[in-house]
Amino acid sequence: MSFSFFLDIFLIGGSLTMAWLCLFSHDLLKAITCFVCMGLFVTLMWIRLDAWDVAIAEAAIGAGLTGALLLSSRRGLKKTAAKKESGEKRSGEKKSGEQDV
Amino acid sequence: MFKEIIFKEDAINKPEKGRLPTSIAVLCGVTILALCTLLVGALISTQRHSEGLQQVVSSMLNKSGVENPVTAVLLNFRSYDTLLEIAVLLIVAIVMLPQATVSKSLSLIRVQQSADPGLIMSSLLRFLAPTLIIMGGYMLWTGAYSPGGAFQAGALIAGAGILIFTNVQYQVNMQSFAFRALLSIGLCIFILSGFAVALQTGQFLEYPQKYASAIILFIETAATVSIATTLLLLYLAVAGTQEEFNHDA
Amino acid sequence: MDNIAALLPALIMLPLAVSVCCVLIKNSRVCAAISIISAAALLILSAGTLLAINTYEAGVLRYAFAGWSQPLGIELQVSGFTALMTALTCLLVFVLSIYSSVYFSSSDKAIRFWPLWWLLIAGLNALFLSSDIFNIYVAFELIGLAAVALIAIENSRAALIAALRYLLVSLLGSLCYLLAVALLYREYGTLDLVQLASMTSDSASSTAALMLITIGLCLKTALFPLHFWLPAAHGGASAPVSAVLSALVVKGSFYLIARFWLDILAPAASDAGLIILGVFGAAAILWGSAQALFASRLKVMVAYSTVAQIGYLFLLFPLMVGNTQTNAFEGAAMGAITYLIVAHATAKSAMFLAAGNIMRIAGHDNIKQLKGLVRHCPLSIFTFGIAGASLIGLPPSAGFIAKWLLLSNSINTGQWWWVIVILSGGLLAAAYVFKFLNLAFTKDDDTFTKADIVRKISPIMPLCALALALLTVVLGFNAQWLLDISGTLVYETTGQGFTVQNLAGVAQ
Repeated sequence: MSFSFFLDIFLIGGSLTMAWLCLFSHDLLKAITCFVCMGLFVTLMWIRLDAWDVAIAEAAIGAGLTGALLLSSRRGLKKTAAKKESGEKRSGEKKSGEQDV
Repeated sequence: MFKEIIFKEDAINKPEKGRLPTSIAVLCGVTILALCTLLVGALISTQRHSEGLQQVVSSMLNKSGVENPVTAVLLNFRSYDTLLEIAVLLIVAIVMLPQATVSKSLSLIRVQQSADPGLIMSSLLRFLAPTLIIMGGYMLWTGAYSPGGAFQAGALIAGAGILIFTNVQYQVNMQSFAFRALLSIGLCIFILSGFAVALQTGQFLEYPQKYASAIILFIETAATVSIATTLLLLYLAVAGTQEEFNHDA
Repeated sequence: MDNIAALLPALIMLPLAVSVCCVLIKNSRVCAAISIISAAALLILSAGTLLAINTYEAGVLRYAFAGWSQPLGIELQVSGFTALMTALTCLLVFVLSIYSSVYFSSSDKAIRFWPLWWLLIAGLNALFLSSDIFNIYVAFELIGLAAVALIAIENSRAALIAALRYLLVSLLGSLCYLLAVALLYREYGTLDLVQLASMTSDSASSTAALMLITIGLCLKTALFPLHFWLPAAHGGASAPVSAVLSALVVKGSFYLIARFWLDILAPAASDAGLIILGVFGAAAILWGSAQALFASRLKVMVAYSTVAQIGYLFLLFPLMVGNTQTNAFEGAAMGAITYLIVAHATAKSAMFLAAGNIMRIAGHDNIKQLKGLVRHCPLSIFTFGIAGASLIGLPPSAGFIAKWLLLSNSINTGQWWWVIVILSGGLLAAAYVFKFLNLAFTKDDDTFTKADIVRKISPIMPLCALALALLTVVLGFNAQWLLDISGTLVYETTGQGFTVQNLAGVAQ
């Protein structure tokens, strides 16, 4: 009884902390890692709720595949950012222009 | 406020600008807290409906053709919802399909013998990929009796696919007819079987009780193929490892 | 009667099947041909349903998917109003499919357009016909994603940003709605609309659900001040897509707001809430019209005009305050709104198609550089004029009848202040429509010349637009027929006992 209660508190606290870290971390990689960890916590929560079907789907799609997708999008963004930086000087002017807005 | 949140573009290129001003962050926090309090208050103050639909589902379960109530709801009682969900997946697939430059009919999978995947990759592939696919098949089969089913099986098989096609040795041709057929087979089979059983029973998607479990497995298999292919397509399109091959095509 | 009911799933399954065909075939000409034929079939089917409903005494048809009736399974339900909405959808889809087959004929976007187009239509029909709150969520997902994808096929930077913003807004709206569905299921143990309508009370949980539904669906309907995503999304999409987004997609979520406030969750709805919705509607009329007046791009102007027209729809709510007893009156307010929906759908899609033609010819839609355009595309300007007259509310057009009904309703209920809003909205609409027409007829030094024409367009495109514009005029002459159909809605939204009893009869 008390063990499962503490487990629930741990899962709730853990998932909320991970969500917070995911939203507010400066580093994209760290944010993605936190997102996957949150997926894990949520999976365990579904198991605690006896929803095994949802738990399996969450683990496979929510945490696993989405994590992989996010990581590869991050790689793609890095690539385009590198291309922009090497090619254009104009982007610097644009940035300063947008800051005024 | 909305302009601040939603009009922010290019946050990735200038991360210091992608952050919300403190005032708006506080405002969002207060709104979310208020909403949560309201919801919790509403939940506490109202009684939960005594049984929901659980009783009805379990009393009808023996007529559904499967033993797992989740599968029974997804593929028999509320199969129409699942059909529309498969259609939603098709939208994702259409959007992510790379634009055809020249339409040539090529084979679905190309093997590059010259490319060397490396020892770790090839041994990982040798053991993990078949295991994942068999696990996926098991998930699909066991969905009738215990947790599992098309979505979970599709995700597992997509994982195997990602493993195979991240490898330089194998490439998939997303322009081929076969690939598009794999993407749409789930919806296609679902609609066709719905129509076919309607000829027998009179209602769209109403399975004859004798064949219900076989029909459900048939539809689920087709759906698994489409789900796995769509998820694989998502990963490959975002990762861009297959770019060269598909631009050649 | 059973024959028509048995054909109801076809209204959803045929579009899905066509979309699968279009994915597989990948030849834009064949896809266009299949699409036009299927659109014609759909039109006949939906018209048949509408006529059958009209002659059917119960006024409601139901169809149980997979043979499982509610609460276990999902049922489709057609009443006079929803039959009218599906018929309107199929009619617009037919004209817009012909238009699109020409519009996309020389572009490789067609390969993506056709399957997505049909998935969107399947979603719209599923939404209007559904009688299950979770199924409606799935239909919203189908509509939202397909609409986002259709905007994104434009592939320009602006269109992609607009599409992404629309995606986020639409997901947020869907999630709010889903949360409300969970609350309602927890409290009442059923997902069926009719069952819910007979059970709901004004408990805290129902009120919270109604709030969430209102916020979520107002985001999707783009009610002021939640309209921020609409101008970019509707203004950035290609012409047929903008037309369908403005004419039908926002109406889908409006229909549900009305359904929840006036029928399903009516016990939880308060008069203050109804009036607040009306106030936001009035603000939307004024703000949208003013922004349309200052817009520099033609399509953005038309999109802002949609924001204003959505505002008129929300005037329905205050007009329903305190009149829950008199059925006849409610029919009048609902009739006005039904008329407005139909009038706006035809006029706005005609306007977007005309704007699309102008954009094709000129290569841009910068209003200031379109002086003297009337000599180069007279038909499109003429269409724009007729559609504009309907939006302003000039006789003889459907828009005139709708506004006249709204005005007489607000006077009858003693809420004269809405009259001021409606009239000033009309004046502002006149200002922005004539501002553009005036420029199009101007002869000046910097008028649009033949050399400025980017490319010529096929005569089918302006003719499709004109057909829709003429439809608004025709509807203006056949007011009684439409009002009769919308009268069916009176039973649906007010007589809860009536609906439930009759439905029980039909279900057996």
